[in-house]
Amino acid sequence: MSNNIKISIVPDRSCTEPEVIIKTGSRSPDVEKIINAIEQCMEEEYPRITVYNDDQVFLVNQWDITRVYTENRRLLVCTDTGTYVAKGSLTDMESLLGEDHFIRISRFEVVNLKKVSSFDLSISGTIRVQFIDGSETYVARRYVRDISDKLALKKKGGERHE
Amino acid sequence: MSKVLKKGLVLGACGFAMGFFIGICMCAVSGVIEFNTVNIFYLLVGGLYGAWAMGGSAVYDIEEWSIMRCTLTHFISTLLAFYLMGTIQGGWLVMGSAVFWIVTAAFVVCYFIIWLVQYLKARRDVRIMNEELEEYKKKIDP
Repeated sequence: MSNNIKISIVPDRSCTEPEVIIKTGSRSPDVEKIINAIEQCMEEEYPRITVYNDDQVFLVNQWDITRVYTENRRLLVCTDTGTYVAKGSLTDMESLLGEDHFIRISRFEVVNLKKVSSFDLSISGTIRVQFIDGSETYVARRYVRDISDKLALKKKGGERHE
Repeated sequence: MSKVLKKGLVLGACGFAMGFFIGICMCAVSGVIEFNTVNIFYLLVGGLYGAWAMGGSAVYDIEEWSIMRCTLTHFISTLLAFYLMGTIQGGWLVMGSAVFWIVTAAFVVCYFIIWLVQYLKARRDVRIMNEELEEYKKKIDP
């Protein structure tokens, strides 16, 4: 790799997550190496999830996942492109999913907060999660407090690292 | 054994003791000092009602059930058990009597209040969750 690559860090308090901008005259092999290194770094933090549909195997990006839930002893992963089967337990899956964006809403389900449009309450007292794709699911009453606490922590930012 | 069932049994044991104790208090208040077989039987029935009512409150721990379903289930089961107790205990509760209607009304009011308090708390929780969700979304996508 060329020794002429300059690395600049620009502090910006408005940035909640690091943003990488590569300034280059052309997309050279060095640039490709840098992009691959960054993607690999992201992959380590947010690994892609292996899912199955009939006999086919897919790797899905975490940010495409809407929710993960168990049904009839199967672990199902609901994404933008469809619902797939995954192996392992919901707890194992939860450990792979980034805790920044995924939250447990019941014993049987974990949802991606990025895909949640709102929460609402029915007259019977069930708390419904509305997703941006129009689908919905329900929050178990026992998890309401946990969800509120986690949302409050995510809102505040770095406190959870203390 | 499920957690709900275990909790129900523990609460049931406490409820039995409370029901029995309340029965003894009622005997004292009404001047009943002879603890014959019949009176002891009535005290046991009271204890069983206490066990049923208090043990039944474990139904609120069933996560998949809504507040309304839990409250209605507990309301119906304890009210019917109360009627049964009143009938078994020497028939002091006569169906259609003034006492019957007062008891029924009291149950309805109490359980309505229980449902309302839980519903209002859930409504507040949902409002807070939506506010925090909005803040979270602003943070990830300013």
